[in-house]
Amino acid sequence: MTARETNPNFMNGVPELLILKLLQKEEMYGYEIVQALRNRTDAVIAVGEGVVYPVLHSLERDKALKSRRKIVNGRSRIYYMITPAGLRRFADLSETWTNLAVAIQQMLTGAQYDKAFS
Amino acid sequence: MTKPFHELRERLLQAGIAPRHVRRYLAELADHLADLTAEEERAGRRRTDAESIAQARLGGVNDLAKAMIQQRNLQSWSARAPWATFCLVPLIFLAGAWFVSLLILSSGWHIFLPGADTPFGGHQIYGFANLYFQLGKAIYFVRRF
Repeated sequence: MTARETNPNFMNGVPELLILKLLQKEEMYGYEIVQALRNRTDAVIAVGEGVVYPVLHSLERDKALKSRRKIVNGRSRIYYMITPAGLRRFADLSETWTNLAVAIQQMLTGAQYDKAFS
Repeated sequence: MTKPFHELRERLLQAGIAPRHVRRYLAELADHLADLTAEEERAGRRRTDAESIAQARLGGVNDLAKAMIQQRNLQSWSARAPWATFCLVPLIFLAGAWFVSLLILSSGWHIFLPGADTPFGGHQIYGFANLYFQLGKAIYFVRRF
């Protein structure tokens, strides 16, 4: 279990972005998605694991994802996969977050301030 | 259903989340909880410890409920647009049932009682014609309730 959870105010839209990114490569079910998020972000991004499902359901309702039931080791799993609409949504979100991250990075390192006064 | 899930179910339904989304959410949470418990047991924890850690990792009822309730597009129509569900839709159905019953009466009159001045009273109707008119009558009277 993680020591602390990521500040939820900064998390708006992030789970959606990361889930879409993960599902670009392969279809996954909820538990796999959460483990992959934990591993690939070195547990920096940590939320209650169950909260991933409302995001998945919402994305599916918006046709960004589709799901199918699959029996694995005798258990029924719901696998999620990305759709073309989901790929477009990922591209938009990715661009927005990249711009935001660059702007914040510039702000933190003072790059713009230095440029303006150099 | 375990107690936390029962409480979660009640809260989600009261918040207007569509029952099919609630059912699926709870089923996925139950599967996830089983996976987490198994993972903790594989890490060498006793069953009871594994279950409580798994529950904590899954999230509390408040967090799980909040996450679902925030997704407005998962709410049922009665929660999203009560004015439409309880006012507009019944009116549309009422008008539709009235229209269909009149259509049946009118078409039955022309098909089964050609030349009659009225479709009401005094006519002997049998077989399919009788069934046809009875269907229209049933729709008309059901509409009144």
